[in-house]
Amino acid sequence: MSAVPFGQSRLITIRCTAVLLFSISGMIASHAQTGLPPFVAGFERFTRHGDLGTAESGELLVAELSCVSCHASGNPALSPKRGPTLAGAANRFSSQWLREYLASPTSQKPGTTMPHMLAGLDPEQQQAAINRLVAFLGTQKKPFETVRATGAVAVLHEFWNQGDADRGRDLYHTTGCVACHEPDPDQGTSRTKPSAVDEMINQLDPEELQELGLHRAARRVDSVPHGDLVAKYTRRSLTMFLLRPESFRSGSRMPNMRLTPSEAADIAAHLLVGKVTESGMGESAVDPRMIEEGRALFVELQCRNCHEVTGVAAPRMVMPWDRLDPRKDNTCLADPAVGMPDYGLDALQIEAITARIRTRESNLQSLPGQQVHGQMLKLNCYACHQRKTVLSQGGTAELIGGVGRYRKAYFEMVDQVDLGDEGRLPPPLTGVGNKLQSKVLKSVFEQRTPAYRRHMKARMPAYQAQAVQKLIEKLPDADRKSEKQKSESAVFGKPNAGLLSAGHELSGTGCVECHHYRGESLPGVIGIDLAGITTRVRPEWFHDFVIDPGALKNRTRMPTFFPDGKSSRPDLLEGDVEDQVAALWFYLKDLANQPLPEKIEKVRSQNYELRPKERPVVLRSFMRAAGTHAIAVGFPEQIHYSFDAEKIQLTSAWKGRFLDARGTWFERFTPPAEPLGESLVQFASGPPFAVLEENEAVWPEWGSLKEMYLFQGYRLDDKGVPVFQYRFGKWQIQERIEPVGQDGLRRHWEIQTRQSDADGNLEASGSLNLCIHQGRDLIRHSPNILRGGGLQVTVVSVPQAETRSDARIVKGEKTDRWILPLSSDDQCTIAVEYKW
Amino acid sequence: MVMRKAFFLLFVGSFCCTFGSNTGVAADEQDFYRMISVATSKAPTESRSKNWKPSPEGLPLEISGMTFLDDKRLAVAIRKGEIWILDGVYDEPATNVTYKRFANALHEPLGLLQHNGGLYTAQRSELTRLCDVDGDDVADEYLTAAKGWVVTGNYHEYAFGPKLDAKGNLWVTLNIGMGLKGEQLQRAVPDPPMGYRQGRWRGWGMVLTPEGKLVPMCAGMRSPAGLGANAAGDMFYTDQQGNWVATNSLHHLRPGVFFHHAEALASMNEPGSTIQGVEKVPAGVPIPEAMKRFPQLRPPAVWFPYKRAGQSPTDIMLDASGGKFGPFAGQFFVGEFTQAGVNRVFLEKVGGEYQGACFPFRSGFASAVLRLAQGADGSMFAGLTNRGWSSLGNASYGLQRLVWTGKTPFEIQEMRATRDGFELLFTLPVDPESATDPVSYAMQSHTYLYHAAYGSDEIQKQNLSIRSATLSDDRRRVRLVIDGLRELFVHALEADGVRSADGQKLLHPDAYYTLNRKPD
Repeated sequence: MSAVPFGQSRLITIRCTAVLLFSISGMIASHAQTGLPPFVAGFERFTRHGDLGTAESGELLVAELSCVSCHASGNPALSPKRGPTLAGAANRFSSQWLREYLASPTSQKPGTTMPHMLAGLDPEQQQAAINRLVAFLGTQKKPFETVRATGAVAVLHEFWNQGDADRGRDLYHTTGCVACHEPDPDQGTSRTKPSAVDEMINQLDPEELQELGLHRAARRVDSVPHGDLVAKYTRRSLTMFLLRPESFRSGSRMPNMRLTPSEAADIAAHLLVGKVTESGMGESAVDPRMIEEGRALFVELQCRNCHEVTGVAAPRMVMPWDRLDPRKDNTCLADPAVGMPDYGLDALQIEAITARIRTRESNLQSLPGQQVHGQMLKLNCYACHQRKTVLSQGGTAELIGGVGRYRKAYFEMVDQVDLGDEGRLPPPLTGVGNKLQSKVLKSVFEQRTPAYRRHMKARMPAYQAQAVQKLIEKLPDADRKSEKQKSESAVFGKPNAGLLSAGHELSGTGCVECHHYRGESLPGVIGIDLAGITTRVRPEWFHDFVIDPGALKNRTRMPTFFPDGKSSRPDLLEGDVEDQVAALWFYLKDLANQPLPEKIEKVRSQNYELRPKERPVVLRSFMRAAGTHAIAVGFPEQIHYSFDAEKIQLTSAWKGRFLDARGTWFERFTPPAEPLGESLVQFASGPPFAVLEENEAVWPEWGSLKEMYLFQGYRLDDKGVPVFQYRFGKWQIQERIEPVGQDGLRRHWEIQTRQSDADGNLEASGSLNLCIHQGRDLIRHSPNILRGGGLQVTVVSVPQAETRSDARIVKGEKTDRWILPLSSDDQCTIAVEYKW
Repeated sequence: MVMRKAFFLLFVGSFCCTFGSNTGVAADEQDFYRMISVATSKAPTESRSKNWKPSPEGLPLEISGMTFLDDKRLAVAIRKGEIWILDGVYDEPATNVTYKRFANALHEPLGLLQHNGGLYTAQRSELTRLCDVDGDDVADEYLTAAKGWVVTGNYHEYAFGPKLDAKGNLWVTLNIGMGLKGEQLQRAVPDPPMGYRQGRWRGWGMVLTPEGKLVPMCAGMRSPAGLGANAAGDMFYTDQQGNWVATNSLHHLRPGVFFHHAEALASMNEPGSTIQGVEKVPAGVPIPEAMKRFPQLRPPAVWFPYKRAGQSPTDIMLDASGGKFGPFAGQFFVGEFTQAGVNRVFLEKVGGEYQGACFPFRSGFASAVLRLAQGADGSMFAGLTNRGWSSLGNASYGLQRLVWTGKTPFEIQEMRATRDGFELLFTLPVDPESATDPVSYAMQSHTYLYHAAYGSDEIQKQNLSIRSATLSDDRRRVRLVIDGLRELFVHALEADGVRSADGQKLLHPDAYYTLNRKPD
């Protein structure tokens, strides 16, 4: 709180106000504003070229100049843009700049919509008022928001000082800033060829342009002026403004460009190139009286009506809107008296506002399309987007807006790809209310919504909900083709398996050449991902667009697959066009569970499918059967297996295709690798070796033996076949698994008794046994052949001391085992084949 | 009228409030350490995309391990599970680098070390020794050097290393799992102390002894992505801010020590555990208080204040070049993932334990810095990859090299604790006037909360007053006497006002000293 006690401060307020009022009453402004009249993008672009009606233009100005902040009106169409919040002004603006701006707003910021409030005061008076206002604003301190750093957002220490002007310059010219603001003529642009229309425009004279209806496209669009940013901002305050414009200006006229903190700092560095000293308001002892008088002036001069600050009285309202009389002398419109706002309006602007006041109609815009148009003018959506709009009563719809021919070059695609204007310019919005589903229309404006057209460098900015509410509400009404939006079933009927598989097939025919599917695409294809398309666009629009894209989107690159209304795939669904479009819709709707189009599958498999050609291929991964220590081995013979290196056992085998490695190689959440082939056989779980007393009937569980096992890795032999190394108790074992022709696998063990062991616990009572196979219902066909679990198991080689008939079947509670006892020779080899 | 005149006269020319604070133009990091891109690539998908794909051109050089085979050849592990031998990496420009695949089929290897005639790498499930037996520069032995930690299958269970300490131990650090579910829980330690659900040895530092035994040493790690030994051969690791970890940190690895992450106590009662008898983990208390209540909990040698000194530390590189990499011989350089940079650490021993300071060093790498290695010429190689998280920079992965230009940056080279303050050693002689003016310095101390939540704010902040600043005869050391030092608090110094003898500002005026203990 101020050091001035309340009573005293109030006295000062009264005196100050009284003095100023006394001083200004009855005086006529001695000089009007100089410099540009207020710059309102829609007015400059359209009204000045006769595109908009006078009263309609007036309404735009009334909102953008915030007239009803002082002249109260309940009419939402007139609701004021208002000015930036000045809470925190002391940290954000240089006091020198504030002084100069207050002394002459338009010379500091040509085209500003803030009126000059001190026009007409003599220099001394003006200076005194400025001193007080600046003293008061010096009390408006508010710490900058702390920007949260996360794993996803890098926030450098004092990131606002770490901006890189070169990067910022690039961002400024590519993310979309130059849709409204002035590009730097020296900035290089992509070398995209001008479109045919642009070529033509270049060669025509104005009359010809008018005749051909190209005059709007040919027009130069003026830029929203920046003012002297170097004088005004610090690096930090400009960076924070660019990062969170909505925290400082509530009207979304400057939308949120979805910048990262670093990007905001980069653009600020670019805009502040040449700034050497950082000056804020500084800390200085200011006479508390000055502050209090400034506080009073802030209300008196109606600054409070447009600017948020802390610690001031309610705004001072003047004559309500409905009672305004533009015929009077000395109004805010023209020749304002001292103490009145001086906007520096030009004749056309005065005429427009006058017309709006005179209509006395509360609602100029009764149709949804007009309301959309009105809001698009205010938010300057037309800076980026074209839209067909009816400009005059009874007139036809005209295509207006868009980035304009002189700015096109700054709109680029990523990676220098060329998809023509459609790939780099913001999309036209004609019929968009009929295209997008309501939820999507709403989310487009929200900051958390990720970019949809990832191939474009320009970004769709985020807007405050309040600013776009009218667009979200009215666009569907404005663009609706029929009385009621048609439901999915009304357009496409019900899905069935036949439609889904036809949709898969149709997708592969043409769509894959330009579109992505669930993040997958053909090489070099840059385009929209069709995953989620059915939750994005309305069924009816999809239907119409797929059948005749050009009818809904002029000059689109999307071709029709139904020339003359006939399908180019008469073999599918009897060539029925309606069924085929429905098939596409339902296939895309279920894309998450459907196979990718075949061509994409093929590319994916080329990149990520492991295809053993000459030598075996190994992959360590997580697998369902083999667990978290899985080793998968694929062979050129098209027979493959998985091995669990934790429990040291063969777990599964399959034929045909081997594995897709993308998840293992590149996915953060480590999905298990899935066998791609067929004829999968699972080997039942259990330890391969155990020590048993003679004729002992119970095969131990893994858990009781795991301390005796030690996995030691593998060696690749001359053919590249991994030979697993492991210990079991006193035995050192090598196990090699390889295909036998095309029929199955052969496992080959070499067992040696180790001479010594540091642990000295080699001795185990009983003898070594190998579990050759296990499963339910094992049937022995001969001493060395057994069937069960879908396999035929053949013992092809046993140690000399043993005979094959020694192998015995041990029945278990859950599973039976075929067990081969081994004598404790120093060394032996065993081979078994598994065929299926 | 008279009144009005008087009123305005009072104020004419009486008011001025413009104060400029000169930030000056600091020298550029690249004037002292220039960056050379050996190979960098941009993926067509975003770093966190589920459908992440590498650039269609070239090798997906997501470097996760680096070791020099000799004065020329660099072996790198890449995250998809391969090891490549690179030659020509010292060329400028590096346009003729050759690549030869040495090994494949490794499960996300996150380290690489040439040792005892083989290449060692930690995969998710084991420490593997790779050997080329037949001399064709391609590994034919993939032998398990050590295994025994549990892999539940949770994505976050990374295994890092190995690195070699003075005793010949190979160190491996094991990430804690995040949000175990389903089948993963069945692989967790059964009936764990205090109900913590983690696989065995998750969140532990392990060594493979020269005798070939895998031994658990210390516990409480969250995401120990970096390991490194200092000149004495003592081993350190970095941890990353998150649950239980207040901010990023650097720790000395010693047997029986607990660092932060309580869930590592799931393995406390497993055979071989070096931590015993923890019955209750204090939570929601300031770090100094937590240390009192939890005796096994030991403070890090260095806290890296969040954002100010990185967001996610990775590898630790000792500058063992003896001056070929500039004035920081014997110090640590710590990779930084999210901010795509490198920070620097000075350590000293106070009361027998390591503590010290961290300093910003170099920003502007092309992507997240995951691995660091020093080349034969002293230059620093940085292995980059940002997949799965995010980082600054325009690339997704690759290899860059940082070379000292021979020009000495004006930096705080060392920051030592003294009985009543700190002693600063500057890389260049200072300007006596600014260096002895206490106003040239500002210090604030803070600590953190020990709790299960993700990271901690800086708490119990206090501004300290600099009582005096005294300059040594050689004009490179300044002794600061400071009131109100607090043990177990981070002391953040900003030496913005100090100028070198030739008038330069400090390249990085900030230093953060973790004062676990004041010298006697």
